[in-house]
Amino acid sequence: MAKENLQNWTVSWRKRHFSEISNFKETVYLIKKSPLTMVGLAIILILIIMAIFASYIAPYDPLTMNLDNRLAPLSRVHLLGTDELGRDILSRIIYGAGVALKIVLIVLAIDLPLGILLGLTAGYFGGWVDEIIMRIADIFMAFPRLILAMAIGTALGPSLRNTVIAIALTMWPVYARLARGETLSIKERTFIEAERALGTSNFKILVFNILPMCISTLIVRATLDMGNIIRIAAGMSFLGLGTQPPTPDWGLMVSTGRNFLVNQWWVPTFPGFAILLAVFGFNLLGDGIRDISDPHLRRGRQ
Amino acid sequence: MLKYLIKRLILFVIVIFGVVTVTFFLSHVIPSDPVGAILGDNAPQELVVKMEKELGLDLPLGQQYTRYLKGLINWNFGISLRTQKQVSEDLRVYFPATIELSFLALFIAIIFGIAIGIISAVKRNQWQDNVSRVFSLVGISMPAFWLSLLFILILYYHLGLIPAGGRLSPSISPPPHISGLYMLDSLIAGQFRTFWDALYHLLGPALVLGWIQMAYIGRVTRSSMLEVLNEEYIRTARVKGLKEKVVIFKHAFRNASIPILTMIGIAFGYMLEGAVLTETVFGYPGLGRYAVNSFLSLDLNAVIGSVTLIAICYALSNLIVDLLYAVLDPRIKY
Amino acid sequence: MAKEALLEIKDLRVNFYTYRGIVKALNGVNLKIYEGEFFGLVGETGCGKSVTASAVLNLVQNPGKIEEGEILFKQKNLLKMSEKEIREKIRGKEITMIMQYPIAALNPVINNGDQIAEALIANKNMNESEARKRTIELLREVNIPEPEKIARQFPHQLSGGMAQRVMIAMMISTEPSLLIADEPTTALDVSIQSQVLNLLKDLISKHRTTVLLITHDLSVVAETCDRVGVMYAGDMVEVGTVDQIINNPQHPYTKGLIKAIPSDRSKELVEIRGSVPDLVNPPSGCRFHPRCDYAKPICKKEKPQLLQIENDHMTSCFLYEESHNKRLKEEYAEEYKGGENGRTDSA
Repeated sequence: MAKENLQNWTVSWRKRHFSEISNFKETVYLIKKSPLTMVGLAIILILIIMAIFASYIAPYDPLTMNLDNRLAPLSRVHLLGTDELGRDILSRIIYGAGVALKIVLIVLAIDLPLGILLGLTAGYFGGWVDEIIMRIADIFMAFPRLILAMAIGTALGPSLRNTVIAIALTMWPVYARLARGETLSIKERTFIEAERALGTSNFKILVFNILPMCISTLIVRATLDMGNIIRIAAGMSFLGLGTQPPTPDWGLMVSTGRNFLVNQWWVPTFPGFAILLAVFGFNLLGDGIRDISDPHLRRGRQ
Repeated sequence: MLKYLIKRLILFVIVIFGVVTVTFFLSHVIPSDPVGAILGDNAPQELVVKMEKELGLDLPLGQQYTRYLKGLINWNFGISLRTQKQVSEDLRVYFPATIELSFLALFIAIIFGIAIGIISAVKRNQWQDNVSRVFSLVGISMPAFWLSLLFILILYYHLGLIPAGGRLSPSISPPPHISGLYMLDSLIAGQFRTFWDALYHLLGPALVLGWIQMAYIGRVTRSSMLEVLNEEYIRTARVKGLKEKVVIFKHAFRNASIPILTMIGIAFGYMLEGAVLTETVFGYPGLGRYAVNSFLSLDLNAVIGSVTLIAICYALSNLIVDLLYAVLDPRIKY
Repeated sequence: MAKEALLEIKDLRVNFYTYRGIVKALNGVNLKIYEGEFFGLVGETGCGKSVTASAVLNLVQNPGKIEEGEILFKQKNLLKMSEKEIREKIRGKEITMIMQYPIAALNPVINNGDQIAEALIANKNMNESEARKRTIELLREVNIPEPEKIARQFPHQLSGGMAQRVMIAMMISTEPSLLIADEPTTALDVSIQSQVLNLLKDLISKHRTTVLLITHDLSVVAETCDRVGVMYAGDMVEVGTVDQIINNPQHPYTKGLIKAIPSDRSKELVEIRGSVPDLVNPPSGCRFHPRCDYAKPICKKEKPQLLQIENDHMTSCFLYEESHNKRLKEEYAEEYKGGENGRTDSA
């Protein structure tokens, strides 16, 4: 008797959530069909593993100097050679993944909520609140990202923490804009009118109706931006305005290794390649996700 | 439409004003000691006070701001601590260098980017498409400073194909100053050797910047073309029995070109950013390198000057893109 | 002696390869259209009528693929022609098509007159000024007021009805043998509908073009067509003259369609029970059998062929197999009798 009930419940659950299930199935199919997206996913997973399990994977400690063995070429002992202070490059690159991912996560953790908050407020309430928020956003967006980040980084003093703050400050306008745009188009739809007719408070409407519909667009955008965040952070470290030694930051490694470009090419090259690979992986994934969520490209019944 | 133009221009002015203000206040957060930099650490107190008064550093912030704004109108940012010259003079020398670099890079990016994008869209999901997609993806993932280093390593040290740095070889003197763009000026003056030398020095950074922007333009071209190729009117064109080339260029591309133009405008903005890193690595004496050096040496006036100039250019290119968009699409009614 | 068909489609099968599986959109469609007639292809949305039209011009869209069959146009198999041949000889010259959303079917950045002139220049070898003159004439023919002004305007400035007329002008300009009209009036207001349909009828008689009209609206068919083909789920289920189909429908689906037309206000709305099948896993045998009140065991097992019932009236249903076979037997018997009497050939 209970088994029958369970079966019935399963069947009715499947019926009720048919559209979500078929959406999910379609999503999985599309992901599998796109080998490039899978590659991107794989790269990101490797990065995450490197970040979390760095101490287990890395052959050496990233900070241990060995001045007798400076600038050693690739060998079996040091797979990617050593840098100008004798530190193992491979280990530093592995630990560097954690540094890069940390920056991405914290920036997004600040910017997504901030952007959503400001965007929803601006879009929903309109009027002078909208104008002010949008003008401020415009002003921030009027600076090229790197320049603004450099300025803020210089003003606050170069450090990892300030890099995060600087980049977060340059990127929030994009999310605020997106959230505002979505809010504006959703606000006019009839089901919002219906909610208001029912007497639902503004706050509830915002959180339970509008917010869920904005989230997917913003997440897609965030995925596309992850690569950019890593690149800007690397640029800042390269110029000396970001992370400071001895942190194993990829951009910083390229910068300090720059002097040895000619004869010990591996010192600046491999960290730079790591940056390329990481950004590439994020871009692949971001592209894939964007393609998948694009209604045009989803072919339904012909 | 006129209403939109006016509205947009007003927005531009507001933004410039905001940019200038933000730059001012931001730079005053920078821990800089201009007096100490000029006089040294052991200067006697009266001299320090006198210098502060000269530089207007003893005035309340509000008045310093107004002083700054007044100076701005004359394009007077004061003296660069690093170069000991008027910042505006420095800018006048370095700005055209970056403009020249940006235009050359943009030219490369547009030609190759659009070509790659169209091929990609037409041969969708075939090997040409997949190869160019990966190629473009690598292009936009490339850290500009790293690519520059690689270029220097391979093209300079190993192959000797590009020069060491600077805008001209030491033996060649710059052409008469008409625009500040060496290639243009030397052509006008008929100095062909100078022209080739200037081009030769621009190759490295222009190729790096161009490659990266080519990737962006290629991607937008591809997606815009794909979207357009799905439209009903493309079907109509085929039903009419038109040649495929006509369908793609006359019908599809013309409609696809609007987002592409927008991207070109945005790419120009990215150039200003990319120039910062590329010029620094290649040792190309442009606005980007000047800005970086100003930041690193906490040279306040130079920082304000270069950032303001860069931001204005950036806002200007965004403005032009918006206006172009309104002009080009006959469907848009404002 | 039978007339030769202008367009004959034999056993056309088209599949679409989608994420949910292979959609068997056309399941062996047979169709004959004769010169000078106004042929209507009716069926519900998704039954494959538009796909059939696209296949004629070899413009079936991705991820669709023509699997097998023949499309004979003036006795030449279009499916065996190279893309170049079709483009140069057929499209725009012999066969043209007008579509459901006329404004979307016109290029938004080229003005209306130029788009029509383009067809003339490409297909009739006119030069620019000849083409421009002819364009204005054509616009006048399709009853567009102020043709010079409209020619200079852009598609988004036109109303739906006007845009459809521009499309018609464009597609008639080269005097094709066959004009395919894929739901040309579905997106237009009812008042404009009859205007456009009448325009089509006029033009047909003037230019002696054959028309294949695709629609889901039986009333449109009744108004305009000579012969009708009824499609269901990728099969051609009945073909006949308008009179035969409307007054003497034979296939259960056609009967259901006719009955479903609301006529008497007092009566309830009649519907065909069940719903349109999923073409990834279509029903076996006759695709209509799950919804058919007359279904027999064989309907589930085999697909019925198109059989003749009376002159020019055919249907594919096992109900008529028996009576059809009986008639065939009688015909054979006649001939056989003749043979027994010493005659070796029929009169």
